[in-house]
Amino acid sequence: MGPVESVRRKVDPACLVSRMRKASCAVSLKDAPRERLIVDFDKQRAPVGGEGRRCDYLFVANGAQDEAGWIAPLELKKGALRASEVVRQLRAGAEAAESLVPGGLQPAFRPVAACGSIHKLERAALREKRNRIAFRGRMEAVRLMTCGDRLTKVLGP
Amino acid sequence: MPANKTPTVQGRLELKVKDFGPIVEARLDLRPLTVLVGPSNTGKSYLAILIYALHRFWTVETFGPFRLGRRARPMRLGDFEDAPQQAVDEAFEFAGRLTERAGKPSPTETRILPTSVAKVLSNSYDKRGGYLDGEIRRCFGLEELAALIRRGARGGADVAVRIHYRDNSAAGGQTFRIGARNAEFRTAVPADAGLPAGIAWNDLQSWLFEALTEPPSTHGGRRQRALRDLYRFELLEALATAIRPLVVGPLAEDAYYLPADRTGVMHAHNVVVSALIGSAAMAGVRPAARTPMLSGVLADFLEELIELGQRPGTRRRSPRDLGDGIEKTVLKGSIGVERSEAVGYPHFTYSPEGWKESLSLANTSSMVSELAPVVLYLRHKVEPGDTLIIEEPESHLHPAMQVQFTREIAALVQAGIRVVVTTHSEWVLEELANIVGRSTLSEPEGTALPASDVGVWLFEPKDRPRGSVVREVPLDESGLYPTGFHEVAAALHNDWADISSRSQETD
Repeated sequence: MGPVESVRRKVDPACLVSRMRKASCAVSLKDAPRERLIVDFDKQRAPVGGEGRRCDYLFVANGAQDEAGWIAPLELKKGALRASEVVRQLRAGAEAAESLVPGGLQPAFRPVAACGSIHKLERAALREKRNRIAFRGRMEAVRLMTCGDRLTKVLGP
Repeated sequence: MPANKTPTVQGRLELKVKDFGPIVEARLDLRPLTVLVGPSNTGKSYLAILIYALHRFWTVETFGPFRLGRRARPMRLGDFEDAPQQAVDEAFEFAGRLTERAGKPSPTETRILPTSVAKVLSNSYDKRGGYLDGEIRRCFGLEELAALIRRGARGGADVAVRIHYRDNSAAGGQTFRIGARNAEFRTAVPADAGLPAGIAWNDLQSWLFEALTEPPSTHGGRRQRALRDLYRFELLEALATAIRPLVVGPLAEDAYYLPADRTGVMHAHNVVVSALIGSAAMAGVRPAARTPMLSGVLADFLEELIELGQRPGTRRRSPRDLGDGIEKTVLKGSIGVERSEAVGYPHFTYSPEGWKESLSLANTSSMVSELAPVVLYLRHKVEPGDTLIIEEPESHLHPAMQVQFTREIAALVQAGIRVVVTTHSEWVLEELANIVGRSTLSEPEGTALPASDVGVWLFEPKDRPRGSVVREVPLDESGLYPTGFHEVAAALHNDWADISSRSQETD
C-alpha cells in the first residue's frame, strides 16, 4: 500500500481537496503523479497539532512501481516569504505527515514554499541548518517555487 | 476643450508597439525614469533604440548623409507648398496676435492653434516620414525597415506614440506602420490645441526678424514672390517647431544613447578613429576598403566622443554638474578630457582622489571606463529635459557600486533629466524600489522618487505567438519589483537543496 491509501484512511474526507490555492497564490498540478491526494489543513477537521500551528496543504503521491512516492507539506504566500515563519509552518506539516504516513514507508520528503517573491537574506536563511525540516530522520531544506508554477519542478527525482 | 490645456512635457507619453523586432506587443508609458527589464533577447534594446530614433527624428536635422546638428528645424520649403491660403492667413493672424504684445508670455499661458493650421502642420510632418524611416534604419544599422517586422507576424509592425495631456485626453501623436514593402506615417497635431505661448514666442523670433528686416511686399515681381514664399515658410516652420511638444512631448528634446558595449568603445575608440583617419589620408593611394557598418547608436556614441575632443571646454548650461555626484560617490576620482594637438581627437583620463597625476582610461578598471562616458555626457552634453538612455548600467560594477549608481540615476531624474535604462540587475531594481518606497515617508532622507515618476516594464517571452509581451510591474507588498529574478534564484536554491539532500545519502 502506498502513502496515498494510508493517508486517505486517516484523514476526514472533508479535508481532501483537488487543488491548491490560497489568497491568489496557486500551485499547478500539471504533470503531477495521478495517484495523489491533497490535505487542506485549513479545513475544520484537519489533522493539525495541538498548538494549532499548521501549513496550508499536505501533498501525498504514490510513486511508480518500486518508488516510495512523495510527501510534501506546502505553504503558499502571495507576497514575500519570511524564512522563520515558513519553517515553523512546514515543520507543523511535517509532524502531521509523520503521524499520517505509516512508519514502514519512506517517501521522498519535500517541504515546499510557494511565494510571490523572497528576499536574498530570507533565501540565505533557508540554507541554514537550523532551518531544515526533519522527517523520518532526514533533514530537508525548504524548496522554493513561484506562485502559479508546477509542483513537479520541486518534487525532484 | 479646456483653455489651459498644456502638454505634459515632463509627463505621460505613451508608446505602443506591435510585432516590432522580437516584441509581440508592448504598451508603456515613458516616465521620467523608465526601466526595461526581462530575459535576454526579449526586445529591451530594440525598444530603447526605437525611443532614441524617435527622439532623433524630432530633434536632429539631416541633409542627405550629413547631420546638420541638434535642435535644427526639421522642415523643408516644399513641405508647405500645398498649404491652403486660408490656413496661411490664419497662421499669420495667430502669429501676429502672439508677437504684437510686449515681452515674452508667462510659462503657463497658452494660445489656441487654429484647426486649419494644425492640419497643415500635420501634413508637413507626414511628408517627413521618410526621414523617420531613414533614422530608424540608421539607428538599428539595417538596410531595410521591413527587417524590423517580427518573424511570424501576419502583417507589418506598428508603432504609435501618443501624448496625454493633464486632463487625460489623448490628442497629439505619431503613428507608423512598417509593411513588407513600404511604411506609412501619420502625425496628429492636436486640433484647437493650446500651444504654450512662451515656446511659440521663442520659435517665432526668427520669423519676426525676417519680417522686420525684409517685410514682403504684396506687389508682384520674382524677388518679392520669393521673399513672400520664404516669409511664409519661415512662419510655418517656426510653428512646426513650436508644436513639437504638443505632438510628442519629451520626444521633442534631445536624447543620448550609451550602448552596452561602451566600455569596449572607451578603450578602443582611438584605434578605430586612427584607422579611419589613416584610411582617409591614404584615399586615392590605397584601394578603397569597405567601411565596416556600425549601428547608429554606436556611431553616434563615437561621434559624441570625438566632439568632446573638439570642444572639451564646453559645459552644459545647467549650473549643477551632475557628473560630479558619480565621480564622488562611485568613481572616487575625476574624469578628464585632453585634446590631441595633432588631430583634435580626445584622450580621456582618470585621476583618483588624492593623486596629482592622471591615468589614461585604457589603464583603469572597467568600472571607470563604464562610467566615464556617463560623467562626460552629463558634464558636456545632457541638459534637463533631455533623455539619457543607458543600457545595462550595472555592467562591470560591484553590487555596492550598482546601488550607488542607481541613486545617482535617481538624482539625475530629480534634476529634470529623463532616463531610460535596460537592466538585468536585481541590485539596481532593489535600490530603485527603496528610492520609490522612500518617497512615501513624511520626511524622506536620501534620494526619493514618487512611484508616478518611475515605470518598470517587464519583457516576458511567449510561445504563441512567439515573441515577448511587455507589462508594467508595480512594487509588490514586500516592496520589491517582481521581475522574474526570483524564479532564477528559486531554481538555484532548489538545486542546492537537492544536492544537500543527496549528500545525506552519501554521508
